Amino acid sequence: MELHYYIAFALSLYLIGIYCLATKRNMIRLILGIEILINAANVNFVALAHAVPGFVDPLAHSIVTVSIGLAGSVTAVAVTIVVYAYRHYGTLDIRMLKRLKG
Amino acid sequence: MRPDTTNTIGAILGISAGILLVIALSQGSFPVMEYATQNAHYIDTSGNVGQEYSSFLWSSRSIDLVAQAFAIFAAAAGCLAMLRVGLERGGK
Amino acid sequence: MFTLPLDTLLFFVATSPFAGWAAGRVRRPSLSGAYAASGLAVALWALYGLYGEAASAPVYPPQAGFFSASLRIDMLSVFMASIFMGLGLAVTVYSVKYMERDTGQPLYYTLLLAMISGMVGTVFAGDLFTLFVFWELMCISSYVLVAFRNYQWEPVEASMKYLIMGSAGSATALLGMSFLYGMSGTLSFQGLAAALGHAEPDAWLHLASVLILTGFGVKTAIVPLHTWLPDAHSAAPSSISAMLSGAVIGCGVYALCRVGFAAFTAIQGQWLGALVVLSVLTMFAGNILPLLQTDLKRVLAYSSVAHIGYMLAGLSLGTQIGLTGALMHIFNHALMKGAAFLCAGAIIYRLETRQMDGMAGIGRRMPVTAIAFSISLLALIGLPPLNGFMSELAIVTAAFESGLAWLGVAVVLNSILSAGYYLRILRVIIQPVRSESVEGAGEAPAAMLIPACALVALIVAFGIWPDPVMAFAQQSAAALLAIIGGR
Repeated sequence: MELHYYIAFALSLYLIGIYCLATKRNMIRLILGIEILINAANVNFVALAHAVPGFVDPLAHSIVTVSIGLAGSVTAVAVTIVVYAYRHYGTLDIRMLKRLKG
Repeated sequence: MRPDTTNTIGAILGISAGILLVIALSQGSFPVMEYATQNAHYIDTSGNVGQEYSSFLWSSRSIDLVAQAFAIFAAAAGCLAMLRVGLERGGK
Repeated sequence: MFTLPLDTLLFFVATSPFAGWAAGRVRRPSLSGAYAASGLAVALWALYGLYGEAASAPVYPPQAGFFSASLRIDMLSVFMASIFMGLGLAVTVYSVKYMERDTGQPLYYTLLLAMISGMVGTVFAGDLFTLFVFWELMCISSYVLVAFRNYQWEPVEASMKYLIMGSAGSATALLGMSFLYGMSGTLSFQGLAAALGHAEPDAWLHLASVLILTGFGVKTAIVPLHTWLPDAHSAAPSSISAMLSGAVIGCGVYALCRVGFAAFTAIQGQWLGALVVLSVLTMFAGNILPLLQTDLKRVLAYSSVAHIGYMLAGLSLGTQIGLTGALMHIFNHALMKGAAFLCAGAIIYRLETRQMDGMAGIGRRMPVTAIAFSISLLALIGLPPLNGFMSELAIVTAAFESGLAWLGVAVVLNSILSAGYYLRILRVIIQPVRSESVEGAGEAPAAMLIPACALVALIVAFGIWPDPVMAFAQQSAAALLAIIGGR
């Protein structure tokens, strides 16, 4: 497979993540949208590591390994905040979180 | 079923962005490693990739691993802080 | 280990929960605050030791073995780290009294130390990925600290919006970094400068620059992406508002200038041109929107957006004097906005309200706080014997010298416009007393006054004698531009 297919895939995954953040209402789905965005970047790193045929660059793979751990931590904190948002507002709809305006 | 406005607008913009992406990507190719200098760390895919990659990670990128450990520690501390059991006190 | 200041901070992050548990056994939770403050003091002393070394050439901690690190400490790193640790020390001492009624104090100080370590690690990083990992450490801690008082709805809502926008921004920046890696095979700043210095300005480099500008720009509150800032900075506890407005924003500007001047020198004209337009938008938005606000902390939060506009205006000129002005303004803004938020927090601590209507006449009951607050507000407008004037003057001079005279005029116009809401706060403080809650309020506690007054004393001192800050900023700007030469 040629390299530009992988880059096209990573960019379309990024666009899917942006679409998810822009249109979905459920807060858990928004958190998953952020995960999709981070995974788009991870796919891009891994694809570009195979530039020279027959060799891989371990720098890109180490970046992806650490990035997966960080994505997990952000998701954990986000879900904890969603728990409290549900306790205060009674709904998981982000459009109901509009008491702060201006 | 009335279609939701936001979803419709989002879908139209998303599909148009996708079409623009396909057009843009067919124009020029990505300059892969065009400006790269010689890298001593490449791993041969026919060898034991996992072992060599792991030794690279622990020898050259150890600060990233330590910082990731602290980030996970901070996330754990954060979740504990958010889920703490305490009385509601006053004050803003 | 790596380098002494960073090691000290990380050690104190790891041991702070244990100190907090011990403090809980002795029934004095404020001891964990004292532990955190002593940790910051030790780290500041270690940083002072590093200052002498970094002045001549960038310091590279050992690159091999288990404790190898891709750190690169030059004058700009030491400059930014001193801002973060100094403001952090003031905020920690202030929090000992401000957060005394809250539960979970050991975890608060752990997270505050983790946020400061993340910021110091970001500025010490010599590699884009190390910068990203420490940046995420800072972000995770700040999301939780904004939502710390989770028994109220407002911090939780503000933190949810902040988290979604902030982590989307980090993911965008990571995608931009992957394109830079693809083009040059490395992510270290020296490697990027060497590889992409003479690159062709093709579409992929522009795409990477847009992604990185957007990604770090969310955290820096550049105008279409600033909507999280008024909510998050006003809903957070006041000590955390001071840290967010003073330090986290400066960290965002640092990331932009470090990546921009290392990797995007081939498209410098376009990239800086876009930044000029964005800075003007940011300035005007930050100065016009707070004219309608009634919440004290929201007004201060919007003014942070305006000052980011001034910093970006200095940065977007690209010359050494423009960068000097921007860096000086990061330093001065941290002092001014930190003092303003700490004094506002003292007033809110006594009065339990954030609306300015309920604060009429508070200056007559809390005189020291009111004097400190007034000095910081006058400095934020940019009046002459105080330090805000010197950095804004540097930015305006640089704009005139670069031929962008309209940018200098815009900065001056915005300073005048901002006086509109700062003077409104001053008027509220010195009005006659109208309500009983103001009547019964006493002076702020000493533990809260001392850090605020220390910051105000520095504001006045650096206003009358700006030479040390200007020299420090000039060396830092020179160190930033030197990376293009390949050192």
